[in-house]
Amino acid sequence: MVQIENLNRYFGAVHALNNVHLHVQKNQLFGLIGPDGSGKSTLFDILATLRLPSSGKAIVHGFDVQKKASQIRKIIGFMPGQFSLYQDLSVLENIRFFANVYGVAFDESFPLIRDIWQQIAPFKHRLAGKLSGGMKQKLALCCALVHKPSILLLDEPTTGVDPVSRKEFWEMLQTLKSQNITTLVSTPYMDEANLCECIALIQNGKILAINSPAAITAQFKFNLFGVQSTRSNMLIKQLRQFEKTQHCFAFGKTLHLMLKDFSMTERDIVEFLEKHGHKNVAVWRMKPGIEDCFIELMQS
Amino acid sequence: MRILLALLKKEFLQIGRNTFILRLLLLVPILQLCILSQAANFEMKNLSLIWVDLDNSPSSQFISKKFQASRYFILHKVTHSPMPALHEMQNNKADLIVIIPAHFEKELRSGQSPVVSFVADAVNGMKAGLASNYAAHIFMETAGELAQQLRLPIIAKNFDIQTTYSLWYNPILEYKTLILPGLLAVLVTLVSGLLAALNIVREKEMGTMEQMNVSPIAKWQFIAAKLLPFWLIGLFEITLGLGVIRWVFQIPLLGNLALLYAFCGIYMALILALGLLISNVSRTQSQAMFVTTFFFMLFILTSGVFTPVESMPSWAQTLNKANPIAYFVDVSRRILLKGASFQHLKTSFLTVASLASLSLALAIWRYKKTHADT
Repeated sequence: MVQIENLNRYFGAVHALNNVHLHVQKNQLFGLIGPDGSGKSTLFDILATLRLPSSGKAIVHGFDVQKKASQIRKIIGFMPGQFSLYQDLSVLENIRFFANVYGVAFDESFPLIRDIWQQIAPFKHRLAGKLSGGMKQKLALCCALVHKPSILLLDEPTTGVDPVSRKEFWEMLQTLKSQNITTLVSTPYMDEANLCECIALIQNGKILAINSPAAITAQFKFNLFGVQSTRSNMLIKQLRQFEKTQHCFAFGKTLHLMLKDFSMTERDIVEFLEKHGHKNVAVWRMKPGIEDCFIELMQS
Repeated sequence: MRILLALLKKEFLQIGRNTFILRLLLLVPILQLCILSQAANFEMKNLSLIWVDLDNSPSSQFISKKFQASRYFILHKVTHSPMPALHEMQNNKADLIVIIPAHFEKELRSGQSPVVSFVADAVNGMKAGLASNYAAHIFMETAGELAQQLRLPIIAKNFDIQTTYSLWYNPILEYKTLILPGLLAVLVTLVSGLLAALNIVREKEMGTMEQMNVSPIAKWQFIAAKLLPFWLIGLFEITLGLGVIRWVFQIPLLGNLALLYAFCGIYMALILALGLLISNVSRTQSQAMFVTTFFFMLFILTSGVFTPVESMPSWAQTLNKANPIAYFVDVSRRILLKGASFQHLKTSFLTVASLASLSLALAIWRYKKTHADT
């Protein structure tokens, strides 16, 4: 459905997209995972025909973004990173406006938007600007789906949204899979990556890896431990001095320690830390998450 | 057509919901016409006068009374020597000093021409010019009466070359009559031009522009839907302004109103196209505001609303050929005050129409849905 080959985009001297290759299958829920400034939005803007690539190819549903922009505009639904509906129009007016622009009648029972509409229907006469963050995103999704697009492009739809609404939003995306729609979604939240069928990790405009979340975590090459201590201030510095340590990063209160040596056990780490004056140390083996893989790939 | 209707419906919903714009549209024309026509005025009244009477004769007193009766002057002081009067002028207490020479009446009687001096404070050149003109005028009017009073047939000899004039289209030289049609231009240009520019930039600021650009809306549809509402608003403003001129200021609207509206229609297209161009190059509403204000000030001050175009240097008059407001001021005055017909105004119509199509084409060409750079 989406084929991207050798895609480059420069902003002056900044290389925002660096030789990107990407294929998205039909009806896939595809996640683009990367920190702020990694090039996610630039890629979305190119796919949505808002910007032209500097070089390379991007084909959406068989249409080249550089030559067939007007065809692409008819079959995509796009939700930009910034809330981009009319804040001074009501929920219903916004949906009706977008339906009219695409030449369809707004039908509440239409399966693609039925579930979403049920959630925002109680506020249908409220101005869009007065909705909560989560509701705004649901409305934007509803507007992006009102014309039954074949490809849905969602640029950071859950950024700045509360955890409950984020969860509800992802549940809606899961149901779209069965509705014959290809979804491309970007997010800086690594925990959302597991909800996608296929993900691409992106950093500084470069794709680090593309695969299913399970396959990406399976490729993780290190012995991973979680470490906590009551004297946490010196902990990370000391662990990085440990000769077997490859990487050590803080995730909240827990440190993720990646070791090259798979023969090392919890015992060895505890001994090392006790030698350095730590008393209440907790060390346990961990299964790698997407975040760990991201750090591994980023460092290599 | 369906898309255009959907867009227009959206625009009108948004404008109708914006109470600030609605108030602005109703209040600005009325306030602007009322305040500017009263305050920005070139008629001089209440000029402070010092009467230096070195003759102190019945004749000099007779003329002094005429000055006091005039609405132009207020007699600030009467002295019998020039020095205190000049001192007062130094202190900004006098706009004009009239010096009646000694033996004024005697010289009149003996058939000589006495020389009366006017000393005007020319810090404000225009004020000084008007003050001495008014004073000379009063002397001319009074001379005849004075001759009768003194039973001097001789004095009439000094005035046997009589000048006569008649003022057309504005018989009592009312400044309001001149400025009000010009203010109409200020009104529609500022209100609708600026609102249109700001409206489009607002879509950029709010991020809604992206949503428009990824939709199948064609360029011309988007632009037409943006311009049409403000085009109608501009015509509404003109109607409101004409109503104020006719019913509040009681100035008869002589010309063909249909012709005026036809011109306004073309003129509005030009102004809106310029607004659109400005919105193309601005990223924020404040940028658009600054650019608009800059051009607006330039256009307004050289347009002839406040000062006659003929008194400008020739390069400024040439620049004025590209000044939309100058055309509007000229055409609206000629239609409203002179009742000019299409034949008289053909060149202005054609020029504004071609300027309008040129800027519209440029604006549509400049508006891009996909961005290659930045």
